Amino acid sequence: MTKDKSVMNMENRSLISRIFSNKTASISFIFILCLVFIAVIGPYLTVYDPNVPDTSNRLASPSAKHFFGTDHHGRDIFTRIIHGMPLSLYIGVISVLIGATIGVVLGMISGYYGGFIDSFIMRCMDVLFAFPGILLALALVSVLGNSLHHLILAVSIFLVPMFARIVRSSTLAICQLEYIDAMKVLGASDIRIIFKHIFPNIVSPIIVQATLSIASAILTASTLSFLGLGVQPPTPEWGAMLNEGKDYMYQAPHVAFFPGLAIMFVVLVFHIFGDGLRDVLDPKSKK
Amino acid sequence: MLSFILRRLMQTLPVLFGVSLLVFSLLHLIPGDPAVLIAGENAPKEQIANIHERLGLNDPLPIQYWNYMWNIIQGDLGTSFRTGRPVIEEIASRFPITFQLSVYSTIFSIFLGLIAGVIAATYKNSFIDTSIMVIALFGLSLPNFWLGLMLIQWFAIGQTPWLPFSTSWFSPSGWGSFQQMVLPVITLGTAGAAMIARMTRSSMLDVLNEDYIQTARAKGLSERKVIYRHALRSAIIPVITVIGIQFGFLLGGSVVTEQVFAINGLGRLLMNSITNRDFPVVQGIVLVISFTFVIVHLIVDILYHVFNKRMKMNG
Amino acid sequence: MASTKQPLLSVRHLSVSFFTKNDEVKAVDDVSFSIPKGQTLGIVGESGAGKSMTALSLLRLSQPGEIVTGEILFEGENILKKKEREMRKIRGKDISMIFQDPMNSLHPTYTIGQQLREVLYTHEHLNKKQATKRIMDMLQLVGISAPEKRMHQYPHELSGGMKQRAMIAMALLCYPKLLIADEPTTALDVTIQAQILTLIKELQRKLAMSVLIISHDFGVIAEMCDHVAVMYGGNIVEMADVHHLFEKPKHPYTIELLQSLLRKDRHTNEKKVRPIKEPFLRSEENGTGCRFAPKCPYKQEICAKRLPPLIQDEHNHYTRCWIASDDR
Repeated sequence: MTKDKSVMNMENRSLISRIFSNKTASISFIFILCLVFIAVIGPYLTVYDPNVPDTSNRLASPSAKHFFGTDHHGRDIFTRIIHGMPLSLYIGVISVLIGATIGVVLGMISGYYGGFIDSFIMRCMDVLFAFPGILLALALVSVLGNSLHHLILAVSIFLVPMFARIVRSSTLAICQLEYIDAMKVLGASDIRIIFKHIFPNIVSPIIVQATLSIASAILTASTLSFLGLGVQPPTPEWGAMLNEGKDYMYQAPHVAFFPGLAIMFVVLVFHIFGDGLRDVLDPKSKK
Repeated sequence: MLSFILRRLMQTLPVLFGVSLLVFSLLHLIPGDPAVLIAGENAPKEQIANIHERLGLNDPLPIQYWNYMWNIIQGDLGTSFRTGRPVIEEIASRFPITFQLSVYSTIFSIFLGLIAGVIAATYKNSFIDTSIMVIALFGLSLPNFWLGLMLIQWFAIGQTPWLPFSTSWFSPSGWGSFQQMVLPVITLGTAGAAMIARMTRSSMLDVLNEDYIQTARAKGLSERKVIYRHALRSAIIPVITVIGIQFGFLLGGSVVTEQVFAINGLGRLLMNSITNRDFPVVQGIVLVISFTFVIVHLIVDILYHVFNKRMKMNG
Repeated sequence: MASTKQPLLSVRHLSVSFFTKNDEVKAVDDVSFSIPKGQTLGIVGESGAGKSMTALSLLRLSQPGEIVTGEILFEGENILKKKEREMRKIRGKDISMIFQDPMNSLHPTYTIGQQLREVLYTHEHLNKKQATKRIMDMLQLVGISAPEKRMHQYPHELSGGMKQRAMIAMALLCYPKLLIADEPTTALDVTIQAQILTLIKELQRKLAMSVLIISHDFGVIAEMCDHVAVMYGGNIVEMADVHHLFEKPKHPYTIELLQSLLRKDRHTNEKKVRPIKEPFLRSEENGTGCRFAPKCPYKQEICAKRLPPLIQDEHNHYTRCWIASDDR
């Protein structure tokens, strides 16, 4: 057990050092740490309250007092964006965790056992893939009802098939190796082989995919919120803020401008980090 | 060739079956009784029972699904809770708009993406390449609803004093005229263009390393001919596969775009129906969009197969 | 090799270098040779010796980032000074090249006919009928049967030998003055190798071309060439008339190559020269000393310090070795 742990630690350490061997990856990694820092600390540092209206100060333009201006209730947009940061990261990370877990398990089962189970699982993934873009997530939230957790659930399901496919093909490649056969002959249980011997070997593509998926999860979630599904006002979710702001575009374009900028920035950082990670961890599958 | 098409068709059938099963079960995922939803919380018991009877909600689920499927095959997607009109009619009047929007956006993204990708690959690692790739990354990360709103702001409303440019060349809403189509197509197609640009670039870089490109240069061809006649011809093949998926994303993304630009397509109908909890319409739209996607994807796959055959056999 | 007439091609002090992260690497270093009209020069050496880069720079097809210096005089004119537009007129017309791997050297989605036609349309003003006739004649000349049928086929429908014949046909379509063949037979089966070599030789005579053959295979060189240049680590280490070189090799590297060829020939049919592990030397090692010194059995103190000059003897036999310069 202890031996395994030390191996794990080594791997972790080398992952960090490998990230810092790549310029893009390390810079974007630092940006991500900053985002997390803002998400954790930021809400305690803001001067204004994100949800208390100030009717005397509606739709104020950006100024030294209100960096990003105020919205139609007079709430400080900068404050609301800072308060929306933990929410966005939470949605992104949690839905990727759920989606990746389901997808990875399905993909490994599919690739390891093959045969009927494989085709069944993969046909199911095809079905999920058949709902273009955000459509499935949209339909799910619409029937389940608006709530943060339904939103996360919908986004996770949206992510499952991608993970399942990637993991399946990586698993298939690993299963070609002789030592997996050797493990079987030695009488190792399937579960042991899958989790002890296959999983560690397919971690790299999973990490890369997970990073890129956080980007698309945040984007998808904010899109749903923009459409009025999922997170509801007055929660300072960026998509929902944009949705409110779009009604005041004529008078106060900044109300819609800054939340969108925030979404783009966070998504961009995760995209760049994912690209960098792919260069570092998975140079073969450079796409 | 024919066997490939047949095999691919056979693979598509279970997918369509699965899609319909999932869409069917959507209604049963709704917490509570759909009938209460239609009639309202305080409706008398008889009315609820009546609705149950009418929608066949008392039948066992497999029977309900069977009836649902049977109706779909006959072109009956149910009746709108709200208007009482057949869902298929509601959809039919909106479908062309959404389809047009998606097709135009796909064309836009292919066009822009290919050009950008080829230029980036041609000037690999130069300032031009880096700029194009950075722009593409931004394109991938832009929330398209935000892009739409900003485009309206800058090019349709023309009232943005704190931005350097603003005009009212284009129309902020509706669908039909050129002025109305430009901004939605850009909004919807940008992410796709970015993705295709990235694909094209890496595919071009692979091809430019091939020996036959050197042969083309050794023939005395101009670099332009080498790139466009020889390299692009091969590089475009893997890009074709993405185009099918791309079209699907655009079909799905049209919901957002239609909402932003107030275009009366399927997406807008979908959002209205969700708001009104008009589930037969929601189901119908999701089903139609998914089926369209599956079929377009199938066609693209077959096309890809045709193009790819020569490449593979050469290896 | 001092011919009284002006040679067709004369390369003087050619160097090709490129930059890696921290170093400048000289892949080709101060290479000079010339090819008289109608003659064949072979460049032999292991992979990484700089042979292919030399060949590509003759067509100015070096990769971007590579710095080519020196002079390449083709019919008296310096190719390196020409504009790209003028250079394109030379490529495929006056100087043609065939590549190592016929499998990948033809475009997979154009027919053979389309690919050959493109050369003619680029360089000569022929109408469709004339072009077709020229292509058919040329395909016949390179020994492709049923040229009419082959023209309409895609590369994947042809065998490896056929593809190389088609490549040769493409290279010869405009009757070039110089044909560069970069490992023309390496990717082919042994029996087909001989056929292709014979074909090149025959065509050279018929069309009165000069030929530059690049190979790692001394067998090929012996069969084809009038003169041989041996390259190692970017330098020409020995250059002479083919008979001279085989009878009286002077450079230790050449001797080793020939010995290993004989040794291997006896035991196996493998004639390949084993590749060196680190083909390119870094710049600080580049500047001083003989490249071959670390492996040389006759290594002296001076060898590691100064690069020997290329010394000519009375038989026009050039050697770049300190030992060979004395009488050994």
